[in-house]
Amino acid sequence: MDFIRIRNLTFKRDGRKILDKLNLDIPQGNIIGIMGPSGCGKTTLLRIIAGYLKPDSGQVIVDGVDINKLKRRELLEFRKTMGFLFQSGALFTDMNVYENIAFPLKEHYRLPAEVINDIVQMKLECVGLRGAQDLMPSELSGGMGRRVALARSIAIDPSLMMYDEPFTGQDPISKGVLMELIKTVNDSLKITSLVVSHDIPETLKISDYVYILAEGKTIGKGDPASMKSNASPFVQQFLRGEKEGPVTFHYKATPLKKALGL
Amino acid sequence: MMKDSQLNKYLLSPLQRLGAGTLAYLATWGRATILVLDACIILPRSARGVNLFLREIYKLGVLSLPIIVVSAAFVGMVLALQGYTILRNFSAESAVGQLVALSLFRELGPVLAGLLFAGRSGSALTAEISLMKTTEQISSLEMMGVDPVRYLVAPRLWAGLLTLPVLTIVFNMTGIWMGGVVAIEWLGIYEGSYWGNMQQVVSLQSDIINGIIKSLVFAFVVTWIAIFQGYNSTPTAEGIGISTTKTVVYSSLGILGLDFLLTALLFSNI
Repeated sequence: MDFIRIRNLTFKRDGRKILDKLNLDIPQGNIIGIMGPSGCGKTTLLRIIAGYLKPDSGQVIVDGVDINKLKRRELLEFRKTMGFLFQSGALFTDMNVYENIAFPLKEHYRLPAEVINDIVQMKLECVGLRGAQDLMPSELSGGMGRRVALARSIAIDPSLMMYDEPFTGQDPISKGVLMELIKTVNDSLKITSLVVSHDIPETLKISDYVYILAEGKTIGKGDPASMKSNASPFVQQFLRGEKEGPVTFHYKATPLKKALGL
Repeated sequence: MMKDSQLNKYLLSPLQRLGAGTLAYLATWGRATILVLDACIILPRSARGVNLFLREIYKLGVLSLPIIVVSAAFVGMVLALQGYTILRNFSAESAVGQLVALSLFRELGPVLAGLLFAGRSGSALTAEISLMKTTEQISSLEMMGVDPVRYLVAPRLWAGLLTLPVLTIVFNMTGIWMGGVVAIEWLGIYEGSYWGNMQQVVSLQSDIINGIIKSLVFAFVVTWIAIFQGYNSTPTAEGIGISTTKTVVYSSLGILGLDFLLTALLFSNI
């Protein structure tokens, strides 16, 4: 059975369709890459799956639960089973690394301090930052910040992890570390992972299955190996990073000559 | 002749703008009311909730003490000096104590402490919450299943409600004491008449408690505005600046407007 089932999902912003009757099936235990150009609705999709945004129409079923039918309190409770890695990390700036990771544990469970300490130490060890537990977020590099955010999002062992552009702005070493971590976390916790990204090689390398979105629709799907032979010119333009193709480089505008008064 | 579509454009545009503006205004009021009602029903119960509440009391109250005490000292001194200068013309300079006390208890204490609270703590509250919104920390709370109203809004609202009345009491005490220093030590008013006249005239119910009621209302209004502006801010650098400015402007106008209404209600029998 699919862990996430999305049917006819439509989401509009200021009258513009961001997602247009989108259908997705995400099996349990896999890493699913969701790729597409900027502004194609990848992050919006993650936020809808997490119940943070309400779609205009359509159905989102996560682990058998219709997310849009949950009341606010039920939704907050359900989110305890989800982890979300923000593009910015979104660490609490008034807490140090240790306190950031301990935060969800302290908020949701009444655990003895020793147990919380043990869990935090294990999560820090997992992301290789046990030595940085006393640092404040402002003292961390971008890559370290994202690793701390990852440790925080897996602190309460979610069954679904969502990664929003985890590789953006990372140096090659940090990218490699994050890729390995996403893979390790998914396999060791036996969870389902959604990786939203436009970093093609990294996403293809760690994903079991890939969806490519454009203009609010799925324009390509399959395992990473099959994507290279996908017939869609859009998929090929996206994978090869070509300037010319179905997606135009220029935003819709009046002809340049007219704008210059020639 | 003008086409129908052109006519509609000229005639309906101002109407449409008015309609859209009114709807947006009502929606903002609705969101602000829902936010404050949600926060009002969440009392700090668990040890963690109490800790959050105490931390906010420290940030909003204790850190505001220096500005409150220094301002109150100068206000008290100026009141004593001005009062003495005027009352001397009627040979009533011994009444300077009651003038200082009544001015502070009824008006200057709640209003000035409220304005200072809005400028210092209200703006800090808005800036903090709107920066948390900009850096996705509020979204992060939501995604972790932590209710931001319970974690962020409620402790700040309750702390604000408790803090401003206490700051007002501190303001009044400091002002009266420093007014006394000027009146007694510098202007040579007899100490007994400064304190004695004050004691005779000041009423616990109509002066002190009514002043505290005013400060409670101001505390609610300032904290509500500050929290809502932070929560409702546009998540950009400019958005933070606009929200913070709005907090100070709306709170100050709110305090001054409500002061008139409350004075009319509470002191109407005078």
